[in-house]
Amino acid sequence: MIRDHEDVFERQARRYDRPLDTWAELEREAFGLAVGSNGYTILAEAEELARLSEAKVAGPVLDLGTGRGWPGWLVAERGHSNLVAIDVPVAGLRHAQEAFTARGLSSRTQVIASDGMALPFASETFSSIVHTDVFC
Amino acid sequence: MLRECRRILKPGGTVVGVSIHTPQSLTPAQEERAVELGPSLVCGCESPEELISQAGFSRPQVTDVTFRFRHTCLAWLTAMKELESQLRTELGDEDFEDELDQKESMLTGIDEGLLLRSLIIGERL
Repeated sequence: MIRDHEDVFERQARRYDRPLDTWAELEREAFGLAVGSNGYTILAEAEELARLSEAKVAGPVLDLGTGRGWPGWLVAERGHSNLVAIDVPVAGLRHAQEAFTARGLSSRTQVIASDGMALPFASETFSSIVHTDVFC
Repeated sequence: MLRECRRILKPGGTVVGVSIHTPQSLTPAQEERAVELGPSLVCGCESPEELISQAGFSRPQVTDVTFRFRHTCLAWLTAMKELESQLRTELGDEDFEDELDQKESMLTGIDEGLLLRSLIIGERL
């Protein structure tokens, strides 16, 4: 029994509408700091993803299924490439944009509403793609 | 989706991420239990190695990070129970219990050996 894609996006959208302060406090209680995660990618793991996605070829990085912009903002901050963050729920994307702006990354980042099944980009655009718990 | 990822990557580019999945060779009953306990779209399909290779990526590297996943899940649960009163007020009982149930189910799935998490890397040659 695999639930419908739309149910998944609807559920995520409801989560993104919840007060950010509440999530932040919960994160601090759980991990000692708040980075904007609401899933299972903790800071150490995100640091590893940022390192592994460091561009070997020139080009922007794609954060696939960015949610509220985590770990996208860390990948953008640690690297030198521009970052494009995509997901379906617009509520999450608004938070992602705020996260990038709050960290002075808005000139190097772009947020796009898109389903990953048909990516709105030309072939051979990106240097690397980062994803966390998207294919499940 | 992985084939789309390969399409938009430059030659020499990499796809790197983490994903929750089931072990290979589950019985149909175990697969059904894994889907009940885990993320909405987890299924007993190909292994991460097969998925990344079938999408056309080369040099697949898959590292099990289930131990860290379990630790994270437990940390969320502990924090949620610690802040239960406040969370119930701010999220409402239904949403709080839904979140709690989701995390508890995930932990059960991990402990029953039905849910794994792996770091997966593939290169587009």
